[in-house]
Amino acid sequence: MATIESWGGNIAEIGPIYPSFGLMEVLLWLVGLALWILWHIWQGRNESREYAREIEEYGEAGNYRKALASGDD
Amino acid sequence: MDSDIGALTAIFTEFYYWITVVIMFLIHIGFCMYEVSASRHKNHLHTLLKNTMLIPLVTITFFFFGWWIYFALPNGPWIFQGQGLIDAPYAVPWAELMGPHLGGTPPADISGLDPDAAGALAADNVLWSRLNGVFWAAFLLFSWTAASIVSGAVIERVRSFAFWLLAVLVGSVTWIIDAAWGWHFDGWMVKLLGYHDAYASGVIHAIAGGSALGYLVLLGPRIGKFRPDGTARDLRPHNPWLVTIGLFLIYTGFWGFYAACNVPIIDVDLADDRLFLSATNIYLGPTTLSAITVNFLMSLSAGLLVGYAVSKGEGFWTYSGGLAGIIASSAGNDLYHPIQALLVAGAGTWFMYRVHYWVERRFKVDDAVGAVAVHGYAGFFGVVIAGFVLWGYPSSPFDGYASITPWGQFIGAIIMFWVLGFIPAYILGLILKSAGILRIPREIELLGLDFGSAADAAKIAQEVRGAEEEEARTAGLLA
Repeated sequence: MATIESWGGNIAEIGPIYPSFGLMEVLLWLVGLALWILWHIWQGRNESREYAREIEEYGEAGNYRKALASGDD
Repeated sequence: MDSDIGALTAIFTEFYYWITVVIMFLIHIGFCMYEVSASRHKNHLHTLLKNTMLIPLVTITFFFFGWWIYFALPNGPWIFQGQGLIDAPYAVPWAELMGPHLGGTPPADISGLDPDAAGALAADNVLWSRLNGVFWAAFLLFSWTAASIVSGAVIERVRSFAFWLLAVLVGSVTWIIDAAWGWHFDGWMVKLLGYHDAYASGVIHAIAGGSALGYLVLLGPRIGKFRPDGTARDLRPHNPWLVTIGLFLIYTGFWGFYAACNVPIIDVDLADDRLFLSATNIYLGPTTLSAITVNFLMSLSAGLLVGYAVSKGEGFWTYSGGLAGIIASSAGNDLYHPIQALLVAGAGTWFMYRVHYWVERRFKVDDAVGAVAVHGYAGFFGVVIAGFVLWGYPSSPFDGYASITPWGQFIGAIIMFWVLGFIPAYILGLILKSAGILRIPREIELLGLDFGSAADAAKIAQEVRGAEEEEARTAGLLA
């Protein structure tokens, strides 16, 4: 797995220095893409859930009056 | 890296772009501050997080596919007509040069490459190993800026989910397509239209303004923005300090932006037997850091003066005018005389202010921070006006490119603002709106986006108070 086993020798011949060079770059990219898409899916659902919870828990006349009275600061 | 001069040039260039990234970071602090100034207290935390979270989302997507787009797509719509995608070995996300790299290529017997291919790769690797990361980072900061511009326009009513999808669309797809087309020495818009946009009036600002407008027409105004008779209420920012410091930070970050738009040092003499080292614009046409420094300051000054005059000294529009002035003259600030920059910036600031209020009255568009105006209209103006002031100039040092013309610039501005700006954002917004997930629920808008978290915190605080009282009572301290 170690791309570099020694810093001795001809440095000019050293290219990539990250671990597992040549073995898993495409896999890492696919994992990254998948995690990104999953994050959006989770976030969108979580946001909708939170709004629904807040409306259920706090959506009463007193709270609306308090929010409206809090002014434009 | 095997000669002193070669190594110095490579590492100087690497450091130059690194510094611009750090300076451009300030733009995003500035955006956070001035968006908070424009939003009400009940929405502050969500506004800050909405702006902040575009940073990681655009970063990862710009790595996953945005950087590749820039190098692969300069042939533009002709991709489908035979000219094809351009090979982009340094920017494919799984390429070795997208990771830490010392620039070497192992000998053919180790790498498995034939000696000719290994030799060719070695020459490129030496430079790209030092520059790929910092170029990527500089462009990334442009990407954040494009997405962040939209953020202010849609405050207090867009769903975070909807905004973050648009941020990825603008930051990692559409702006970088427009950069491949019109902000690349080999871009088809430069070759065929003579498109010239040195400091991104169109490629960043017009496209971001157009994208914001695409969402705004679907999102609708904030509650209370328009009276029953249709006239608009001017909702002013509530904190002048945040406006001032926020926009000053944006101006400061813009300095880094200007420097990052240049190539710091390269041989601009195309003859093989001559050498002339100079800074260049992105199209590799010569300019100097000195020239753009003066023009930046003159543009800022014109914007502030005109912004102050048209708004009669109103703080937000004065500071925004400074920004609009820079944006309006950015397309040609590599070449303008300082007084030309002054006049173009002043005219662009006047133009964007007038059009902002006309669009608001005529189409009932609520742009909370004037982003469509400051960036979109001023950017559009800047691209078009450069076609007149720089009419006949070469768009490129290379042969066979169209020269700069008013019609080439006008078509370019339309592509930036409407084709790549407004239309993609409008389509995305339409999809989300039809699914009911573009705008926050009315109840949340009235309560405030932060109401729930503040109420949850208040409940816990009350419980803690109760626990403390009980403890005090048990200890006999409340007799």
